[in-house]
Amino acid sequence: MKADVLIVGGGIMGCATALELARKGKSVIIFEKDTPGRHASGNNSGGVRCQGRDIREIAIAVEARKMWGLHEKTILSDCGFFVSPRLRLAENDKELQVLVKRQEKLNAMGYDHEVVVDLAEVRRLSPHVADHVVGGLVCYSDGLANPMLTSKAYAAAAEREGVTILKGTRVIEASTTSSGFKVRTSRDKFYEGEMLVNCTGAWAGRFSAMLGDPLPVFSAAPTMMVTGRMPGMMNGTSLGLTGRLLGLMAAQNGTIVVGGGYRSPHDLEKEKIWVDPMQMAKAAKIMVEIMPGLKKAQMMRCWTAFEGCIKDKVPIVGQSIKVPGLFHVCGFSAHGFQLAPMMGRVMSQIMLGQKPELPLDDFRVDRFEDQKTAK
Amino acid sequence: MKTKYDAIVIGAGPAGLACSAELANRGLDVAVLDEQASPGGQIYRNITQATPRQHAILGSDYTDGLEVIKAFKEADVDYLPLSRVWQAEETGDVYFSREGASHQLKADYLVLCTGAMERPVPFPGWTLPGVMTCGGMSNLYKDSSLVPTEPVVLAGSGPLLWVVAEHLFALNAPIVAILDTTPLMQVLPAMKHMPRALKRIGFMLKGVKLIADVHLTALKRKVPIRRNVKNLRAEGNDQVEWVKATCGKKEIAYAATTLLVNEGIVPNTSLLRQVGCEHTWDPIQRFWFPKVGLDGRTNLPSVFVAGDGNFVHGAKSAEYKGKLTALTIANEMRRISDAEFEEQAQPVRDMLELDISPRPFIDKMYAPRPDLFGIPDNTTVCRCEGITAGQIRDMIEAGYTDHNEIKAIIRCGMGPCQGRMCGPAVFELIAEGSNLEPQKIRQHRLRPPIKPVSLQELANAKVGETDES
Ligand SMILES: Cc1cc2nc3c(=O)[nH]c(=O)nc-3n(C[C@H](O)[C@H](O)[C@H](O)COP(=O)(O)OP(=O)(O)OC[C@H]3O[C@@H](n4cnc5c(N)ncnc54)[C@H](O)[C@@H]3O)c2cc1C
Ligand SMILES: Cc1cc2nc3c(=O)[nH]c(=O)nc-3n(C[C@H](O)[C@H](O)[C@H](O)COP(=O)(O)OP(=O)(O)OC[C@H]3O[C@@H](n4cnc5c(N)ncnc54)[C@H](O)[C@@H]3O)c2cc1C
Repeated sequence: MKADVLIVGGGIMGCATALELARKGKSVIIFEKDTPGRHASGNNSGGVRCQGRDIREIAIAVEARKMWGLHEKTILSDCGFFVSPRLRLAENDKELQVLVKRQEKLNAMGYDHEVVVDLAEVRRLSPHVADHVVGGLVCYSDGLANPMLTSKAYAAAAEREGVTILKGTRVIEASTTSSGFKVRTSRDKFYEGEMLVNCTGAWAGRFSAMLGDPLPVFSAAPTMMVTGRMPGMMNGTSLGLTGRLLGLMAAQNGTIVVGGGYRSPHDLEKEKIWVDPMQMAKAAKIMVEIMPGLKKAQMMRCWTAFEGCIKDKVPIVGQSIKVPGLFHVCGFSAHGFQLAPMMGRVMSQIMLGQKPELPLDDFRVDRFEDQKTAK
Repeated sequence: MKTKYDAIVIGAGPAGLACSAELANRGLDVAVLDEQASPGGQIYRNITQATPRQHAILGSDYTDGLEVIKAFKEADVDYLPLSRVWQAEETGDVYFSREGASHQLKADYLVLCTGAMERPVPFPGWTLPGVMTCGGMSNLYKDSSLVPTEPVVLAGSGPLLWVVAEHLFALNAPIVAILDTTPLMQVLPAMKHMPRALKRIGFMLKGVKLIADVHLTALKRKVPIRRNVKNLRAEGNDQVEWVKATCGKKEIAYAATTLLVNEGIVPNTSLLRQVGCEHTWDPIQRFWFPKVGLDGRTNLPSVFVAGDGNFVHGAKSAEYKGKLTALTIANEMRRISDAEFEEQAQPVRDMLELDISPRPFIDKMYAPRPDLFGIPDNTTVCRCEGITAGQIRDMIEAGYTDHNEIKAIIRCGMGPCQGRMCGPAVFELIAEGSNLEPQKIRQHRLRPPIKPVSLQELANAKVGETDES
């Protein structure tokens, strides 16, 4: 079988890219070894957040946020999205200075979505934070969505546009041909395409290595937990910290989704993660300090999923240097969910040979080599 | 408390008690963790504190447990009661809550003896206060001599129904009706297992006598026993007021404030699945059970399973399986030679085989009836999140056949019980709506903690430094 574009990985990146390409007239086949949403895309914490993002991602994140508000029209599902302002707390004056500097920097770049707020506004947004908090930085338009619903909605939208999604189909071999690429699947079938897209998430390094293009993407298992219902505790505001690892997301039913950089040991080959509850014990210690009322909360469930990470924590987006026609969209380092709608758009632009509507230079695959030569 | 053991046994029912005593007697360092306050598990619950009257009512099936308790107490085992295990790993790590803090222990071998649970079956009104399980009632009596004093109806199918009916009659509880939901003709296919069952004719006769005695008492006290009952439901405003059902073509209704149900017993596989044991589907009893040999070995080299958690075989078998597992581990640790192992294991295997012989008959006789999960659309299935059968059927109709995806989208099974109560029902609804072979349907995943842990308890844990990445 043949298509213009072969996409490996049916997570949200693969499906969003396929959707945009199909809308621009390309024929697309997606290979997904499990089902769309089985991995990071369907099991993340659903944070649709601009606040606190690496400066290099801001332009894309701000544009992506607009797309989150339009999903009902664009992919026929609201994706369970709702607004929950994200408030990053400063626990002392030094931290507050960090937040002030961030706002200044963003303002200078022309963005005003994150604003420093005083204690009164912090308390209005989040009445139960501890007394030692001195201020914060808030993004009023941040929100949360349902990751499984979103992943399925993107997959369904892509299928409606004529994209073929081969579920339970793993790409086990990939090679270049005179006219593009050829892949072999676990069902022992061959497919050919002019372009090939690597959307394999945690497996991105492995997959790319098949084509002789090693990537600095490593796998990790971000670990989260959810509490029992604590009605009124979060007041609809999600929280982050400036100096410590913690993210608290205020789900609509009163439960709190807790994360912020905790990891568990894992084995990517066997697809096994050993949830390390002592990581959550660390989060719990901070939680009860930040919000003493949470002492009474219960840890209901921990979960993790595989994610592809890069040491500087921003993704690789663009064409391979070594293998022309091969494109990478990977290494989202545990915050790609919010960016996905926009990733589909810019990917389709560069794959059609157009100039992307936003520059992607910061996400170049060879940025680390650049650094080496610069030094 | 040590932090490292040769073996940690989870569960102090007959399986865990027999296993840990045997391991300790072979010189292994053993700890037993159990969430109850005293040893005994489900069947011998509270046996060490029970009064003579409780012993008299519960009879020899209960009192017999004193023997295994005695052997356990004589063995050199670190027994940690009131310990709720909420996570175990194949690395031998065990995490649990005790006295307001979370703890971690490690062992070379884990033996999971977490027993069985009553099959949770949603039906209209099952979430009303006043509806409980037969086993739950039995626990209340064993723990604190509680007996219903207001009108009570018993309903369901299986041995536990008759055991509890007998106890409640002996306690003069005001039973208003017993509703047997076993289909009338089910005994016929079961008959082919009768010859094997008759190897333990004494046991079979005891069962027959139990049911006959209950019928006799019921007759004397004018308590109706209805057979072939269907469409069971509980009705009432804030509490059960009516128990209704159909019996043949007739509608029946009883005024009662308590409804006790039991639709059989299934392995309690929460911890087993969380740790990563592989499971198999039993098409007769329609439950998942771990892939475990009678020697307790699982797919994970460090994890063993014994007792009813491996397959529901009853208390005596649980004890034998516990013993066999202990011998297997002792042999693997070279505390007994292969020859010694064979010599000591064989008689236990023989007893186990004999004890199990009536099981195929009982399993077939009390197989879940075909319409057991014909749950009306407006009935709540996931009580934690308030999700109805209709909402689940809508998802299945939309093409979802994986409970994990259904859970992630409509939250069914996402609450505190993590699908312990709705899991079997959602599974049956998927089987019914998708035409998939049950073994091909993905079970919902169990994430730690398998039981909720308070953040304060968690925060009180001793932990190392964060390695941020
Ligand atoms: C626990 C957790 C919490 C997170 N929280 C947030 C958050 O709050 N906000 C946010 O913005 N981001 C968050 N993220 C990050 C976000 O989920 C990811 O960045 C994003 O989902 C990545 O999408 P993806 O499509 O690249 O990856 P995936 O969804 O992992 O998709 C990759 C797919 O490729 C398939 N695949 C791999 N190899 C092959 C092969 N050889 N053949 C066929 N198929 C293959 C896999 O099966 C998989 O389905 C979180 C991530 C995790 C793990
Ligand atoms: C409610 C109920 C009542 C029953 N009553 C009878 C009866 O009256 N007569 C009869 O013949 N059979 C009865 N049975 C069947 C009976 O359970 C078994 O045949 C027998 O008790 C099985 O023994 P076991 O050692 O395998 O498990 P159990 O006796 O069930 O022992 C398991 C033990 O593990 C503990 N446990 C489980 N999970 C955890 C955890 N995560 N952390 C810490 N501890 C844990 C439990 O508290 C329990 O003490 C009953 C079953 C149930 C579910």
